[in-house]
Amino acid sequence: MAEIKSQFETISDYQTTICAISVDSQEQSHALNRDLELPFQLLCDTGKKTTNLYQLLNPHEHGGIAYPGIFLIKKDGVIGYRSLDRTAQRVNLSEILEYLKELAQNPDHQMKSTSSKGLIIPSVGSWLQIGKNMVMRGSLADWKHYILYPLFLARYLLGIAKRPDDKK
Amino acid sequence: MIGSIPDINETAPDFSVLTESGAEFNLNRELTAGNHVLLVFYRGHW
Repeated sequence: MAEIKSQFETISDYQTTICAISVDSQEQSHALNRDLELPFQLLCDTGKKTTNLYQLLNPHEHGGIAYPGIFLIKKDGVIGYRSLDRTAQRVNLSEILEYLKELAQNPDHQMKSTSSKGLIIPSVGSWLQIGKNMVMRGSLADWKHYILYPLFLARYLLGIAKRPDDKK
Repeated sequence: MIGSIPDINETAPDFSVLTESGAEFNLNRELTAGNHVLLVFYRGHW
């Protein structure tokens, strides 16, 4: 968010409106904007309809929040660029700025490929952030989830190992 | 699941949501006004 803020004027110069969307309420979004003093608008998808529409709802965290994702939608309504990262803590804007620059010179400019990643191994920074989120912001339900998961996995694996014996 | 996320060269699904200040934001209306839209999905206060 801070990175997008730092590039706000450059992005705006390319006739581009920046909208950041989450499932947060108006109050939560307003508080975030007050803290970060963002120069762009925050959209409140409290019903999760738009996040669902874009297939970015992660139902496993905090009752359903968005996976990070970024779309550059051209004025003709067609997606010109997208970047999806299930573990991204921040968006690398250099590709987007490069794309906007090309687009300004050639309206038919197309990206060669999507930035979607099939399998993502979180970076050290991501693991640290995940740990921090668990400690600082984890709810009781989350703690149960993380603590009980190894037990369920062990029980499942033991169950598989025992099956041949049961038949004897 | 990842395959069904709107992709490059596809038309972005239209939507309407409220902004933090309570105004209505509509994607197609913003595009019709002549602007590209950089739509950033973020996790929220989590």
